Amino acid sequence: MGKRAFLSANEAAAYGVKLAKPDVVSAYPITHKPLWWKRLRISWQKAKQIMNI
Amino acid sequence: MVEKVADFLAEGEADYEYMMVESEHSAMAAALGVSMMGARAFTATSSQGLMYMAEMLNYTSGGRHPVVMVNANRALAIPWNIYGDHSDAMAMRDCGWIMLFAESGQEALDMVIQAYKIAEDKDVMLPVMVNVDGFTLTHTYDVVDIPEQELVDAYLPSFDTANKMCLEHPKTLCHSVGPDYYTEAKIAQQEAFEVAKAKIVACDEEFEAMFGRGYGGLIEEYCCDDAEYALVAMGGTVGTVRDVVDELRAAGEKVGLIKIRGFRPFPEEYFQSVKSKFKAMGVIDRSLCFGVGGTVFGEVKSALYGSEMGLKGFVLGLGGRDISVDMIKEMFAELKECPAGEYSDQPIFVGRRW
Repeated sequence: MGKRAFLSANEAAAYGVKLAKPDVVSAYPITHKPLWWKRLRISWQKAKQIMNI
Repeated sequence: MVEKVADFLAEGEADYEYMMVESEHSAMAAALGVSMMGARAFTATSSQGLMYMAEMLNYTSGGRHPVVMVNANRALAIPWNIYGDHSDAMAMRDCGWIMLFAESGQEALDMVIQAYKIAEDKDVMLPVMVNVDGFTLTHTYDVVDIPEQELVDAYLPSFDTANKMCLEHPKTLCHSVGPDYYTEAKIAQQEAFEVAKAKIVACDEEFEAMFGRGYGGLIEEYCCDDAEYALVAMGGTVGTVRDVVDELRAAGEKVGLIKIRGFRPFPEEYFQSVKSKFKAMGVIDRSLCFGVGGTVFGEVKSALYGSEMGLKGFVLGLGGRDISVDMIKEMFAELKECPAGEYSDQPIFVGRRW
């Protein structure tokens, strides 16, 4: 049984990509933020939860 | 879309390598290189980006490397316009890629998974472009079922190919040839497209058996059994036509919808089989083949050669202009006035302002 989510077609297609398990994704995303920025943002969100701020 | 793909990686939900490159041309060149190493590659683009990767599209297809790409269908410059139509994909219709068009977010998700199974089939080995209408689909939200990974793994085996760089079995890939080999290479691609017609249907049927959702392979007929007038559509427009068909059917009108899901390979056999099924057929194009008319219309007209049906080619929804329910009703009304055997030799622009 899968799960249901409210997604744009962009996000839905991205889920398709994740499920297809490519070895490599190559991309030139105009609006992209670097991976280190995304990881920093996630770390910051987790830190805020831990510190309750 | 690739931003969401990157999010999965950043959040530890995926473990693919993510290559940030400096251009769309490089994105496809990188995907080709990945596939040449026998690995599964993905990339995505849109509009001018697809134009910029044009050179590498033919390298990838000619080399028979099964890269999968999502193209968010958008208009081409000039005038520069970031909104949706099919001009980008249609400009690349002869680049040797299988081209599928999704109607919804759900179909986009499912189509990406199906695309790898089709592309990597040993009798096909062609890249697949999954087309998703820009903005009307890519940026609108709907409830989507996300399948379980285990089920997808059972449907889609890992990529295994002999068409790769291998020190134990060295070979030349993406090489140059003279006139004595080029023709046969192109014939081999053409034959693979013929094989792909059945494979696309088979992959969709297998998907339906496992996931409970099927899309008809290359074509879906909607309310066509007793229809007298039918509209042909691709992509997100299909959903609107479907609603109008329901409304007109409720009013007693014998109308139907033909959804083209697979544009390359083109479902020529289907159109040959319905040469005398309807009184008139209309084709909705969201792109222009300049000097000819609607791009899809040209293909349908060719496949219907010898038909006595009325046939009209409508062009609308360019550069993101809305395709309304009233426009679709207007097209059905025009079909009812279309005498048998008559076809439009000039594109009919629906919703033009002047």
